Amino acid sequence: MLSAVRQSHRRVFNSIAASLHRVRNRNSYIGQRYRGASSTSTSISQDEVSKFSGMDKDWWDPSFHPLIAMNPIRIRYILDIVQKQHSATTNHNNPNAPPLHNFKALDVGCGGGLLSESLARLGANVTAIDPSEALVQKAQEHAMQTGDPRLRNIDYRGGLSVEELAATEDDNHPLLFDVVCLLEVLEHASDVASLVQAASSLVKPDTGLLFVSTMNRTWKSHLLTIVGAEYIMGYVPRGTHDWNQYLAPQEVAQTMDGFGMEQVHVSGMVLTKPPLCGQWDWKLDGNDTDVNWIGAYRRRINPT
Amino acid sequence: MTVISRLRAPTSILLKRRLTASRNSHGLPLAASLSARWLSNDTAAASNEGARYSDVLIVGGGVVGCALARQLNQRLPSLSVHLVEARDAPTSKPASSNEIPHPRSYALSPQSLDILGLLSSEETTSDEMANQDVKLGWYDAMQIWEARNPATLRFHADDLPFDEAKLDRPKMLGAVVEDGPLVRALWEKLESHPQTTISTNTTVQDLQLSSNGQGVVTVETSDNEIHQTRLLVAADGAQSPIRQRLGVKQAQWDYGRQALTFTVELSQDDRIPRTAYQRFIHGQEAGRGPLALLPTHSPRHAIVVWSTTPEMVKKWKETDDNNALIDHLQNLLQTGPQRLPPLVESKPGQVPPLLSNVLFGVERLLETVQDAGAMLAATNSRSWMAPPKLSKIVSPKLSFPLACRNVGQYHHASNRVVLVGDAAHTVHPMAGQGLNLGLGAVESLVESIVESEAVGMDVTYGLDSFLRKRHAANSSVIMGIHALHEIFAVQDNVPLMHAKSFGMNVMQQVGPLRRRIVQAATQGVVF
Ligand SMILES: Cc1cc2nc3c(=O)[nH]c(=O)nc-3n(C[C@H](O)[C@H](O)[C@H](O)COP(=O)(O)OP(=O)(O)OC[C@H]3O[C@@H](n4cnc5c(N)ncnc54)[C@H](O)[C@@H]3O)c2cc1C
Repeated sequence: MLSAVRQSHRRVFNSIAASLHRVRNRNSYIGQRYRGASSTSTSISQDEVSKFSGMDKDWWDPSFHPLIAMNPIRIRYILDIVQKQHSATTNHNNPNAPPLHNFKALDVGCGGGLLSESLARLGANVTAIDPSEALVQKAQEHAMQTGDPRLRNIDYRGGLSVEELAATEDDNHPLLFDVVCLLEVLEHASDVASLVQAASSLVKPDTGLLFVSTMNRTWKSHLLTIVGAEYIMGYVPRGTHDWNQYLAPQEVAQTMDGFGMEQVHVSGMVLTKPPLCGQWDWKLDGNDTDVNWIGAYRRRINPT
Repeated sequence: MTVISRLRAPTSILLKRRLTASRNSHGLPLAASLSARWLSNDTAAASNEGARYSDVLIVGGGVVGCALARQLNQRLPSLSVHLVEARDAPTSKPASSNEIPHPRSYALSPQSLDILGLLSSEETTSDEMANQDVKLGWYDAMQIWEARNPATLRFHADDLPFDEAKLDRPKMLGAVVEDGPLVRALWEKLESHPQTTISTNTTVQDLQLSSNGQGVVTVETSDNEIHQTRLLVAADGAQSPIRQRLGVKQAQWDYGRQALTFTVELSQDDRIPRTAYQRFIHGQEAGRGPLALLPTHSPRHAIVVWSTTPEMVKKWKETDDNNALIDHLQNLLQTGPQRLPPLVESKPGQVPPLLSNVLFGVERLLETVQDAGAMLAATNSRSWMAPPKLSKIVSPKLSFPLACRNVGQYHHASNRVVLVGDAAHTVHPMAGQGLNLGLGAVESLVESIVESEAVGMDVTYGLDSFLRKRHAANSSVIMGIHALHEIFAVQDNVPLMHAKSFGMNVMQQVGPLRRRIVQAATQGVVF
């Protein structure tokens, strides 16, 4: 049975969070062609792009609750780390300024714009990229529709991978961000190293931070996200997750290390109670990185 | 612009029911003329360059609407707030400040006073309204009794649990505050806030929701403006045109009662102690219903609120003989509690012996409880004390109808429209909770917005869970007040009187229970 299970998740892979963008009907996928420049290497899996593009309709549907409900703690984490990192360097002369005032942020794999919108509301100048053009258009429409003026300036770029974005940078036009986010993205990448390398190159050398969140590869995550969520509870369609794509914090730290990045902090994200009745309530838990986790990285000061 | 033109045009929910010309409690026409202008769909609305955007649009500048705007200004100064009010701006303070308190006053709990910025703590003293234009009639005790019933309930600020009676504040149960100065003070603060705009003499003509609930709410006002907002708050009073427009149903009990209220001057040498009084009256001729006497900021004045039959209200409102009215009320207020008629006439042979014995036992039990109350009360000065004597009526006599109404929930239209204050609920003034309930919901609403802003989520995020909790809490208070009314409306039912008296004395005796009641049921004054 287990091998059958494995086979089925290998076919389509996704994370718990991404599964949240529930794919209702596999036949309805829009066969969106990935329009990235073919010369640039890319970490994006073609299947993934098509799959997510098909979700543009219900991205903001409240039935995405798991991911929407996870967003506040991801944001809290980011704000907390940013504040610690910047408390020494910046002195806000305007106490009423939002916490990410004047920050340049990059949301890699922005999807429907959930994270981008939050970052923008908190004062950041956001650049948001996603390989799916259809989704990004949806994100753009959503930002306009909500009427919030803070969302008007989000720089949405559909059909763009982070490698392609990084390639547009040259010495005269360095493209650097205070905050780069790879949240719920690594598990969709066909080439994690390439993704991490490109994202790292966009992080501001001194104070910039790179955030990653994904799922750990443990027996617990297998039990919860595959056996539990898919086979027993049916929260997400079977075959949504590929447990083999999950990454441990140490593995990510190692990959980061290869590109001159060091880990600042890692924390687990856990559900406070079983998600019965569609109530997903997340909290940060520093000790439990067994399933969902989030971490912060910065450029190493003295490259060894 | 390309973005906008690419927007899918969702079929918008056009609310077909136009606003009908309705009147609010002040007898003001709310929507005199209906606009012929209709928005075709929300794509048009989103691209409407002339539309005025605000993060939160509040309709109704009564206490509740103003308090909400003020709270938002204080907690989230960068959020833009627009207030639409049907009436004129409050007139500025008259040069010779009138010492006689106006009868349109509210008995507010410490929490409500806090929300209104009327509890000055050290840091805010200079800025806040306390000790300035808004004068407070503090009370730290309340006394509730029923003639022909031996029970008296006296609550004191000492009954408040430790954390409620904060050490840095004077210990009190609440304060009576006039509507006029309160709204004026709030209004002035709003006017000076850079992110707040106000339209006066303006009503809402039309409102429109986006089809999927994600988009802005579009509101058309009588001054031919089109507003767009992420959150529309209806604080437009008991007749709430917005509530009616949305077709939100209310559970409703009409009591067939009215309240008569006015300010009285006290007799020469009488001053009102910091106590709120309420007596339940029985009997058709006396004017059945609760009669309250409330302290004001002026020790020489008190406010009478008498909830009784429409005939009584009409009779006493229209009479020129105010002395007769004073005499009548004086009589009622000066009559203290009495012993109950016995539950069982102890005539042997009337009741089978066994039942008679049981009843006798029950009666002794009740009596013990009642006497224990009296004994305890006598020793700790919690026994009934006569209220101050009234001298004359010194204000116009106002009346208003009483009804208990409640909506099933405060949040509507995918959390983009919220009903607060009298727009959501009205209660019998007996327990003085009307405004406290509304301000409680304001607090929850602000708390929810502050939380979602802190993590960059939309205002609608989590709003339902905050408001659902508050709605549950408010509804139990509303049902409690309704139940109290029903119990006290029953007259001359001896077993029920015993039961009530038993209940009241138990409440009086059981410290924790009394505390709970002081906290929950009577967070305003019972009147
Ligand atoms: C005479 C009287 C005495 C009272 N005494 C007490 C008391 O002692 N204690 C107590 O707790 N409660 C009392 N109440 C009840 C108390 O007034 C309400 O609970 C409280 O005022 C509710 O405030 P609100 O802001 O929700 O509504 P309101 O004070 O009714 O304010 C609604 C506002 O909305 C405006 N408005 C209405 N429709 C529109 C529209 N379409 N467009 C724009 N603006 C609009 C109105 O002009 C008004 O300013 C009393 C009520 C009355 C009438």
